Amino acid sequence: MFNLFRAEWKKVVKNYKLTTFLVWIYPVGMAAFLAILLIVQLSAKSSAQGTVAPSSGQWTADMLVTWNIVSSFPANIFGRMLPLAFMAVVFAGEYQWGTWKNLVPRNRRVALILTKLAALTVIVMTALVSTSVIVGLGQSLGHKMAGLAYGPALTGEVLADFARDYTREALLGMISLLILAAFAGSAALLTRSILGGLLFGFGFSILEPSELWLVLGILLSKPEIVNLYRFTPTYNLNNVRSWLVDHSALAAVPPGFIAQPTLAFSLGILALWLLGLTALAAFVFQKQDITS
Amino acid sequence: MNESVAIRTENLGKTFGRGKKRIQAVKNLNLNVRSGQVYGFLGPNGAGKSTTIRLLMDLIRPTQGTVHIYGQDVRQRPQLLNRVGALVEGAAFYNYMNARDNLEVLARTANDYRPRRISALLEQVGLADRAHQAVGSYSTGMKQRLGIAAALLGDPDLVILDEPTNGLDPAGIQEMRGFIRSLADEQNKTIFLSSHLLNEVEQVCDCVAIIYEGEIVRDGAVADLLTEGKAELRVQASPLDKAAEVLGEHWAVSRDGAQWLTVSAQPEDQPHIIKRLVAQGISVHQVVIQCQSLEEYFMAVTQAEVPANSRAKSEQEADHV
Repeated sequence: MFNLFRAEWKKVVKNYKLTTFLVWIYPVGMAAFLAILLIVQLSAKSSAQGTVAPSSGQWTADMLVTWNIVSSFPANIFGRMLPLAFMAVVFAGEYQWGTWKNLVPRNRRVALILTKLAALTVIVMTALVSTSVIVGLGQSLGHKMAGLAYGPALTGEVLADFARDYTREALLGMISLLILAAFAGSAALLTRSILGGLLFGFGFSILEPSELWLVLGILLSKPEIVNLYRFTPTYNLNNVRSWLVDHSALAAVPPGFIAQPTLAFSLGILALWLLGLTALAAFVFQKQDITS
Repeated sequence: MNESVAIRTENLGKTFGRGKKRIQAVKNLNLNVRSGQVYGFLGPNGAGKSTTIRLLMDLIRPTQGTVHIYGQDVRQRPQLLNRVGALVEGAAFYNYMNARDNLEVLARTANDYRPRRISALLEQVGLADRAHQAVGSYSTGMKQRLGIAAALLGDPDLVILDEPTNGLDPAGIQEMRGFIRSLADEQNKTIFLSSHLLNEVEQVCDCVAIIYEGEIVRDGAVADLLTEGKAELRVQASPLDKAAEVLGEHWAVSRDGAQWLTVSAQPEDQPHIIKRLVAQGISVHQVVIQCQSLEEYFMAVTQAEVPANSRAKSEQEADHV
């Protein structure tokens, strides 16, 4: 399995154009953005009174914001599009390049799909972790240059709290990415095309967390429509966060309109999405004829 | 495990599509390829060669029948494919990576990464000097060479090659021919070779099967097939007129220039012909067995199938009406 993972990793990271534009753009783009702001800050004397980049003033909070790109509404509507495009291109690319015929006889089909899902998720996770570190370092430097405090101070307790919060956000981000990868994979495997994978993926990315139909359900006084909202990945990711941070359900709908889902319910729904989409991708590929 | 038979298919069939778009690409295919053979697989475009190879490699699922590799059903024991290396319908690689990286990816996918093996194969197929260039910059012939290297990565017992000489120059074709033969003779590998180049197949293969419209229409040892049916003997003798008269009593004879006769006889008739001529006091200078080439045989077989199939289709259409 380790060799298979190395193979997937190598294939993807060696595709410099693809990964630069769709994955490494997060850390590289953030580094470039912060560098420009720091240069502006250095050159403009007036800016010495504060940081140019928006900040909470605490590195412990700033470094967590990156994960909103993939797990929090509304940032994730567009934030997920680049990783989704990346995943769809990697899956469908094997059809475009005609390379499945080289891979399928060499390992079990299910293993090929699961490893690809894992490798893609790890690559995007690496980019997001790097981005959050760059945000922390950049903001720290900016605050120092501006002569502003950037807390909290590094103590054992602060580090322990940060490690807990960061792990939580990273795990929620990873679940979101795994669901995204399984959806992009299924769409690309079913349509056997990059365009098909992208269109279905973007549709999923836009409609899945959309509150339009939530509003529609409330306007029509149809609790059964509103209730559907409780089964979306984004709502449940945020509900899990709400339970873990505030120890209560996320109040996304008017109180009393529907029951607020428990932590166990949300974890169950997320597991269903993850396992269901992964099983779908594996099933589709297992049954598929690899033709030219 | 039956090691003496590398490939055995039983009533193998594959149908694509449904309803009016239904295409029966392979029908009731029965192949029997013995270990150590170089087995040629011939057929015109669209005859079902590549579909058959994809069925052998478990890339597509049969709609009927089974594929056995070394005596075991490949669908039930997919790990059997570790013993098979294949170049299927032209080489396809990740163009943005170099040759070495492409082979590494394939070797790791098979959980069998040996850097020295990769270096040796790149040397063997003549790509060692350009192993660090992106495959996208390779010519078709170079990609084919890399495809051969990829097929041999796992040191397979059975090598399936689909048009391996596509894109190679004449020297490359000759080199490939020798290479394929050496795989069988020196490394005891079984080779299943699909090719359009009939001359190549004739020179390299021990046995051939001819597939036409998804069905095997002939198979057997190359030597047997070429002497089957249309064989001729060319006789140089003097006096030629008297020789023609003597042989004409038993066989169909025609003049072939001023010094030769063409006799429609089988190779085993050669001693009788010489005996009859000598008995009549005729000087025999040369007797040459003139077998048809594989190309002639292939054309004869496939063209004979055309009217038969057209007839069958007409009858089928008439039934529908």
